[in-house]
Amino acid sequence: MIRAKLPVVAAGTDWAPVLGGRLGRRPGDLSHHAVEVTRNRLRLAVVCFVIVFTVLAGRLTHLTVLQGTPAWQAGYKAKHMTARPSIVDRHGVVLATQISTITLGADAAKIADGAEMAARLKAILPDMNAARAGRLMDGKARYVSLKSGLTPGQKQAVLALGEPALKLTRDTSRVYPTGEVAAHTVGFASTDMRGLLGLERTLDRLMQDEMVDSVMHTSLDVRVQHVVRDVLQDAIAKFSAKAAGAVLVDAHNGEIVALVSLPDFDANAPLANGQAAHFNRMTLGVYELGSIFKVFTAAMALDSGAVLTDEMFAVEKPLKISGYEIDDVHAQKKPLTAEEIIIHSSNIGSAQLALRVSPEAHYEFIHKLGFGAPVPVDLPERASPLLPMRWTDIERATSSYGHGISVSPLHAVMAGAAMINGGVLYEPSLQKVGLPVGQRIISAGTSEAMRQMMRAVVATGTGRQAEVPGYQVLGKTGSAEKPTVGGYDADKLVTSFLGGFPAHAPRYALLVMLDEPQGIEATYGFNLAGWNAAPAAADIIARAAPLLGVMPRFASPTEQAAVPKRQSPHMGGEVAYAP
Amino acid sequence: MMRFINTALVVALIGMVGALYHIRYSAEAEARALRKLERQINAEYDRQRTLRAEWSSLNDPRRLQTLSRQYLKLDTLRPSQIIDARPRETQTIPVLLPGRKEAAHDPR
Repeated sequence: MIRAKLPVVAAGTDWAPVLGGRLGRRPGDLSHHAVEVTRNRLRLAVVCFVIVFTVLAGRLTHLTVLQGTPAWQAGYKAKHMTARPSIVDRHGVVLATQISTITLGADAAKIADGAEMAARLKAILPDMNAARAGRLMDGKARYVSLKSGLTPGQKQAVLALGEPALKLTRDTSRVYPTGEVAAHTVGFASTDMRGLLGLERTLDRLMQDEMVDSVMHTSLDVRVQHVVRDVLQDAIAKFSAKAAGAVLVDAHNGEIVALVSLPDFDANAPLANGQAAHFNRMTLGVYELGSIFKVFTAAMALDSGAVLTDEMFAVEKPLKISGYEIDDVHAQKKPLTAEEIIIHSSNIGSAQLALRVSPEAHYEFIHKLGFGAPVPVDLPERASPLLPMRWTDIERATSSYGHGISVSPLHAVMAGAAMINGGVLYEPSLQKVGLPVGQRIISAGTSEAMRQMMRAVVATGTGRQAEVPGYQVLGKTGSAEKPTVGGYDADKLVTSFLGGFPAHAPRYALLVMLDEPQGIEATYGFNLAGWNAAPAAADIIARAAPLLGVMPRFASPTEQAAVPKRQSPHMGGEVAYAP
Repeated sequence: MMRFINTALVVALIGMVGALYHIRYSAEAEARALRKLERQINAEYDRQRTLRAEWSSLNDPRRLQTLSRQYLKLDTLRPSQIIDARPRETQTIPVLLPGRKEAAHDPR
């Protein structure tokens, strides 16, 4: 035993006397010095060990006792969060989600008769391409993918075949239960779960910044979204329009309730309609929207104090500016007030309203409306407005009635909402807004005047077909010729209706746009906004307002009698002419 | 004395090793149970997402519209068919009409 050979040293005593005694040397010798050094080194080692173990014990206590989230829980959360967040509408209806799917594959090298196997599988999977599957299984590849998205029942049936060459793998895929209904807004993701369009792409950024939980709540209402899409599809079919779009927003916080751009696509098969269908006309397209701009011009003129509500403007003769002539389609034979300029949609009057304001103030107002920058919406598809290169009187005059200035329809509807909501411009939002923060751009009094004017347009002017009994729509029509090389094409119009409801306290603002609608027999050949965009807006409001909880209100007989019976001689009609 | 202490230490060491192995195996068993639970939870989440998607798909307004046109003899709701259920005296809604600078309040 080694222990027996060692000298016995009592605990707490020193080795030195023992060793010294054994070696026959006295303290103070060289050997005593070596023992001292060793002892010091031992002490140092003990101190080091104590420090290291104290640190380890401290860290262990911190991790297990003091830390808020236990490590196992953090691990669980990380695993659970690997699913891409779902996107839901304002009532929780799923617009996009990630689900597990089962994919059927096969080891072709182990299958003797591919065609026979394909026939057996076809009985279980009716929508499988049997010819293709047979070809693949007749090859030599060690793995061929035959069909994805098997149901649990189909999976069981495949397993029951007992064929070892067939492989079932679990996979994840992104599904869009409402398909086309909100396709442009929701967008779609690739098979490797990366957002490629719309909110799906925005979601990537939010996930990176850890700003979204397992569900992304949007402000969309899928029922209203469907109503808008349904009405626009009918309008496209009826008027043989090239495209159409509409946006409905909450005028008091900027929440987008519905946004539709047609033609659209099924988010579950995004390439089926071609890539052109991915173009979001409401946020990425910019258009000269024509006469709806007169509302902004009148608001600017009244709000600046440069024009009084009862002031008259001569509109009987064309207006000459810098060698160009501005004319009205339907010339008026008497001077008009600002309100009558809006009701009759007079280009001459609108130009005069704009020219009353200084160029600087006019330019500043255009920017205050949000037309100086891309619309700040949570979508990657955002367009920059196209403003005139110069800002002389003629550009100011034409832009006063919506020519020579192009904005996205979303820009226009947000500015329109500010006209009717008391004068505050809100940023559009696709998520629910807690505390709305906006910027005042016109006074509450001017907004009140704008409501009066826009109500008169629908009650007695070009927007009469937008009226919905009980909902007192207010609005303005716009029919703008499309710009072509070197001028404008009089046969191709972009028609729009910018409105709101209910007139007594507008809660929602709406913009409806049709691209190149054609005149039909029912419209007596007219293709102007009052004949197509306005009735489409009425259909949307009539069907959407009850869903949005807006109570209809019918005027009493005395109120109806108070409505001035003013008949526009040219129903539905104004065309803004460019110089 | 030393022998007793050493024996006690060795016994304690063996005991601690035993306890450590027991704890380790228990922890592994717990980890296995946890992984199983996690799989179950994830499967349930997955099932929940699938069911929600199914629900949304079945409630797709396009589908409901098609079904209602096919099987129900109902027309589109008109605003005139909506009735205010509040007491009559509280039904004061202002109405804005052209030519009127202020909204008129008319109790029905």
